[in-house]
Amino acid sequence: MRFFINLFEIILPFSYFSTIWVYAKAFFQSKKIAETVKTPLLYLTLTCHAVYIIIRTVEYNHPPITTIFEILSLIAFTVILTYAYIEIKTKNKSTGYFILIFPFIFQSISSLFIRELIEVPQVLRSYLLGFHVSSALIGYAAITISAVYGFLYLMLYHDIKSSHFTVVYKRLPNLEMLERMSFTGTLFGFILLTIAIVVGFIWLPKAIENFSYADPKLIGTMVVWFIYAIGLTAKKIIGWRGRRIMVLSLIGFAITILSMTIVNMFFSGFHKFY
Amino acid sequence: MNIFCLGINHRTAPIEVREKLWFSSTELPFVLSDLKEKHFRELVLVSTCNRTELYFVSEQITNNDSLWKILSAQKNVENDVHGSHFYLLTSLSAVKHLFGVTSGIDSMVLGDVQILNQMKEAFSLAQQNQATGLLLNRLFTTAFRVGKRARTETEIGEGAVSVSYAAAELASKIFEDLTKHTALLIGAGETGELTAKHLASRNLGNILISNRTRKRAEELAATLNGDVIDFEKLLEALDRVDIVISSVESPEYILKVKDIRQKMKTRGNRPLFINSLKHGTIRWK
Repeated sequence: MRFFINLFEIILPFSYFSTIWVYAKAFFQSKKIAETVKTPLLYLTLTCHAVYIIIRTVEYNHPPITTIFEILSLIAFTVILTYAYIEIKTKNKSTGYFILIFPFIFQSISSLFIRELIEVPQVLRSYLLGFHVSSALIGYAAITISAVYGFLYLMLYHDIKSSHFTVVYKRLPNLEMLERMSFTGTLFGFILLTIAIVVGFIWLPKAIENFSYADPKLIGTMVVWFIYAIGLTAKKIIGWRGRRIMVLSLIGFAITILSMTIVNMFFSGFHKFY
Repeated sequence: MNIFCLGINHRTAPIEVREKLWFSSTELPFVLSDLKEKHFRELVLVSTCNRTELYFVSEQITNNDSLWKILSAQKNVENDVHGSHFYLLTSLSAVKHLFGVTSGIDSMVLGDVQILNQMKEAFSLAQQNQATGLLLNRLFTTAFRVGKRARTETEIGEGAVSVSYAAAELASKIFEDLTKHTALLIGAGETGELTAKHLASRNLGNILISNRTRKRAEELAATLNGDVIDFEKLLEALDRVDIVISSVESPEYILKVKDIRQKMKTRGNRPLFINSLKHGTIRWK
């Protein structure tokens, strides 16, 4: 079993890489063969990743949420799964390259650094924690996807505004659709993040002895939550649309990434179990 | 003696500048005879929304500096334009450039089908005003042949490219489902009609047509199943539409940015796509 886990840790980054490479070939060079191969390749990578997560969970007897590297792999999986769903739902297969770059990065970091905890703390075996973590994870995946569509929106917007029609203009779907996808991502992300925060607030003080509301991770998450709350309010009440909302979505994403990486690496707090 | 081309186009100057150097068909005869009298042996002046180009034959090689001033002086805009907006091509490069233009290679929409006709009109106008001579007559007839051959013998003309087509494509790059949207067509001329047809082929929901002479708008509306809007009531119509395509040439601006800003508030910031295919639709500042 362990052998297969290690094998998948090596295979997965390559599998992601070849998938995005084929998606890039299809997007930038309109290669016929890449167009036909890309979606089967996407499903292959998706299946490999699913198998990896299942055997890992079975072998170590806990869901892969105990270290940041396990979590990164799980986010990567959530993103690719969501993207596969988007492809089926919208019948638009052109944006894969831009989305799949993220699971590739997440999975590569995960594969490089992942280690098994020798002893998993009791606190990480709770079901409430599973709920807390999974809603946060899917929330982050949704935010990532939202940011990518926000970025693509801005690229297409720039092309149209400057009358400079590049490959982006030729291959991307329309602005309205990109905005809608980005918004759906944000909405999902926001709702799930809210759930994660609420569950966290109920469960964390009970579960952890040195719980503190001034924990950097908590503050970081709250900042992210507020930015998205402001964005959604601006859209709903002031009627902000298009470019401004997309820029906000990108800022939200940047702060999310900062909160996840810097806080995890450089600050110590109770929200760290490894 | 040599052939020259002095020009300004969508690559060298922004729309605000090109607009200042745009000569309407009523201005052209005067400009042609004035320039012919004072400066050049032979000349053709082309002025479209993306380019203003002066092809001429001259005895001595004049430098670019004074040349662009001669052209801008015709519109009294020497202070608004700058020498860097212009290009000056001589002999073979001027000829190559002209062939590129008539073939549609130099157009903003690659392979544009309208440019060849625009060039032909410019040339015949110059001929009517006795501005051309042996050299330019020969050059332009060859250029038209080149343009025609490029379209029949290469793939540049495939898909009947034009600004009308591009405008319709642009609309569908902004809106997801055109059936839910209404377009306002300002100008019921050839370009307007063509644009309407391209939009209709993309399943546009509804179309409103406005034209200075109402009768023409009514005729077009009948064939397209659209409604007619009074030219004076254009601004009010902005509440009902999401796409505005203007194909009228006008000495006065039809829409002003100030008014559009106001409208955006009443529209609740719903996106409004305004595309002007000719000069003189919107005053930006």
